Amino acid sequence: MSVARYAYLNACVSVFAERLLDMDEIHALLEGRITRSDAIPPELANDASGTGFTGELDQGYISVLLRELAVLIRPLSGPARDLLSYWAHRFELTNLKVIIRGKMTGQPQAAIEQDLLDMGSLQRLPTAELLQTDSLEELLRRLDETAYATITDQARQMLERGEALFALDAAIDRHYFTGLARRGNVLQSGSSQLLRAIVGSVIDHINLVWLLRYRFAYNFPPAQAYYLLIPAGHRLTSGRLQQLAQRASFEDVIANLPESFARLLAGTRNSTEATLRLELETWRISSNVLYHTSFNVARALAYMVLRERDLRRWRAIVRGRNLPAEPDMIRTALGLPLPTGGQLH
Amino acid sequence: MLRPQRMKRVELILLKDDAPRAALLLADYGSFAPEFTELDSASLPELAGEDYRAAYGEAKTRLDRIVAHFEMATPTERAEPLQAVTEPQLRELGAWLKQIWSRCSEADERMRQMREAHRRTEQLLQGLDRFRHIDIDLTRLHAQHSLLDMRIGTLPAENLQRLEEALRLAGYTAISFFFAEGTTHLIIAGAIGQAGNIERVLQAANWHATVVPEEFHGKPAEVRANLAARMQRLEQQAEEEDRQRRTWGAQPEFHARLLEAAHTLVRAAPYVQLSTLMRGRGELVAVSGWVPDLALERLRHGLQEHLAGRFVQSARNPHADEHLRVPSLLSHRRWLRPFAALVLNYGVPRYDEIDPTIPFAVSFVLMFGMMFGDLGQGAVIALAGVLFRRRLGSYGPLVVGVGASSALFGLLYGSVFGYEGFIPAVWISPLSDPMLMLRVALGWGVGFIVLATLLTIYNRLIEGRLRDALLDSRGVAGLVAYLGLLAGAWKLVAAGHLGIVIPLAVCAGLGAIFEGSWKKGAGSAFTERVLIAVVETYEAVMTYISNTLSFLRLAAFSLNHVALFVAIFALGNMLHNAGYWVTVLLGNIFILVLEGGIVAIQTIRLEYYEGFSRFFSGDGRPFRPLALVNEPGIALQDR
Repeated sequence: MSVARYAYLNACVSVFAERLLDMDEIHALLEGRITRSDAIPPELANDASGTGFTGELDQGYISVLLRELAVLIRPLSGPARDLLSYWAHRFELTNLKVIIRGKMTGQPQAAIEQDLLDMGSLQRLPTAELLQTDSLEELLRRLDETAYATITDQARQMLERGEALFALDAAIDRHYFTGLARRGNVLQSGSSQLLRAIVGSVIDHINLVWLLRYRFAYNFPPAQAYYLLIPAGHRLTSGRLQQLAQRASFEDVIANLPESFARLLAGTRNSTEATLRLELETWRISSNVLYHTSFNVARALAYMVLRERDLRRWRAIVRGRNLPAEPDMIRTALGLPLPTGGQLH
Repeated sequence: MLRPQRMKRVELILLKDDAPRAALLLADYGSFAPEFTELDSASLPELAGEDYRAAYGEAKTRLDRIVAHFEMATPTERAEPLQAVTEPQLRELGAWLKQIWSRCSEADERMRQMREAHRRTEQLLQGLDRFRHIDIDLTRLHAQHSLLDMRIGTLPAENLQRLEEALRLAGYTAISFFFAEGTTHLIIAGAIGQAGNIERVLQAANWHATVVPEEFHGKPAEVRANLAARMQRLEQQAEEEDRQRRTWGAQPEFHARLLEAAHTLVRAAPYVQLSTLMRGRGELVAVSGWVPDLALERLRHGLQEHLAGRFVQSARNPHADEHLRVPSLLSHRRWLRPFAALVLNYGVPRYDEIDPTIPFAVSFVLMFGMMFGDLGQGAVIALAGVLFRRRLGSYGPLVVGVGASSALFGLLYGSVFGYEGFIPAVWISPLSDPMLMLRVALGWGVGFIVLATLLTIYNRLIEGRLRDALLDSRGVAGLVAYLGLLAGAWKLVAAGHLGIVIPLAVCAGLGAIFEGSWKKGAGSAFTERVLIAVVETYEAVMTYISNTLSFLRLAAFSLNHVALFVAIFALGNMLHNAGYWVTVLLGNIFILVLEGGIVAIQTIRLEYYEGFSRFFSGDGRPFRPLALVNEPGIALQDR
């Protein structure tokens, strides 16, 4: 049944998978032995958009991802389509945060608009209406009519209390990932398990990194740090997170992780390193799903995760070369192994 | 009549200060479809009106929100006098609207807070009954304890489990005692020393502390009265707020000023639209557009009168290579409007294409009549078209037309509400000679297809596609082959042999089609080219045959119409007097509605598929003139 249902999707994903960069190509790009790749769309081939690293993909890259996602979701319907569309929705969250931030700081509409991402056919937020609001109260009233109605009350309280904006950002992110986990669970049998593995890996990664930051960078008490996590982990269950939240130090948390995570994060010194290693794990799981399974929706999601990885890497390589930075330094920043097996100090 | 109106490309150069006024004039004029200027963009590098558009956009969105707030309809009609709106006037208007909207927004926020408070109080009222289930003295909820931190409040139900787990980490416990509309009411308690640790958790969980009234001391009736009074106060406040909103909105000066603001924006809108296409340099701006040839002189006079010569206007005919970009404006009598609308439903004719409205109107009405021929039912349809003309709007003439045609064919068939004895058939009753009906339908189909093919040839010649006009399956070659096949079939049946001329003509036609298809496949492999050419030639023949046979439905439905009546009368004859007449009446209504609808659909299908798809590209540009009110794309004008 799934063969018939996902035949076209499977074929599309397999064709798209040819665009993923392999390690040889990445190293060749890093070392300048080649300067372009067929995997990178022509419009991104000469990414001269400055040397500043913003941590997020900008419009050109997101347009590529959305374009490919639009092709993948075309043959889908129901929960499967909903899940993949929702995956792209996180780029739209950036727009929501930009608008809220802009309204709070009194930026003119034109200035806010410049920082917005074009979501094309996958746009769900009524961006134009939100931009036209004259006050935060009006913005939140308008948000009451969208899928974000559940966070507007919380947002009002936070803003009344003068809470830092990152708390609202975190609430928005929490809302998003809870929704993502819920959509992954709706799908039936084979796809559901594979999707749970990928989505769960992403959520575990975020939960662990957030927990480390909340407890040891912001010094939140355990109860608060735990509450702010996403309630839909995979291998890091609620009970385990509660235990980890009560640990007194970074090293203590790492030492008390489940075995699979302990092996992965052994020796990490900070949350940045932990982030890189956890991302590698997510990519590993996605690669397994993409190359060792067939005829399921999870392959499409796995492709999108890996494609985003490659576009980030390309962006980092181009900007690193423009700095200019040594190839080994770029490798380290990307979490790639050094060719000589050495370490960069 | 048979082609869209002739157009001229007009170039206007004027002073920047006069641009809003000119835009208003052009909008009022109603026959100027703007385009980007043809003048070199290097010599006119500036875009006009950016600040004006920004001011307009802000004012418009605020006005829309204000109008929605007061539940008014946005006025869009033109208002005299037609004075141009300057940018300072727009800004002043925008500032006033901003001020008004600020007050409206505050009022909206107050209403939202009241609704929220009302909702919580309502839940509390419902929850009051649940307090007895928790079996504690409500006084303890007020008391300060030295060791125990106890609180009562609400939070969204989806956050409950998470909060309980988080509170457990801080040594608190939570008791949920009521749930309603996605909100949980609960009591939490823990050691007083941990109170600071849970504040942030409660905030993150969207916790709202419940203000427990003093009366919550074990007097439920008084507590209930107090809550009810609170709700009533909130309702009164909301009503008062709403009353103030309505009073404010109804104030004549305020209402008049809002109306004036709306009219100002209506007058400013044409320049907003036009300025996106204007380019300028210094004090000069230029814009181009399409104007119907017949309306050009009026445009010139209007500009001369209002701009006193402070403009330069030039006009030219469309170039051959821009015929696809010239907009099409269909111009017909009012009674042809519904048919033109059906043509536009398929697509807009290209500028130089034949406008098929008149042939469509004639053929549509005749085909409908032939399939639905009955004097009585036709008269009913025509009468309905007259009586309900207001409700039918522009489709009134179409209904009257098809009704009259049905009545005419009813006379020809001798049928009145299905009875074939009341009046003599001027021609024949369909069931008396079905083969004749089929021959007539076939003949009609042949004529229709020949006409459609001739129109195709004409359209292609106009476009300069000589080769397609001559050698395509829908061109001369196809027509020759088709007519040859028909003549051949006729001669074979009549005389028993084909002769020489007809086969030669057919071969010539098919050969030309084959050759045309062969040439199109240049660059492909030989076998592939042969295969494609053979298949396309075969398809051309089969298409002609199947399209022709498609018209047999004209006869089929005319027979069907009679057959349905036969069935109705058969049913009616089984019943007694009253039952007979009821059956006949209901049967006629059934046929009128159901078969009438089916026949209309079949007629449109024949027109669109056998007709339009042959000669009509339908990808023309509709003529969208600058206008004072927002209207959907106009490609139609009353003569």
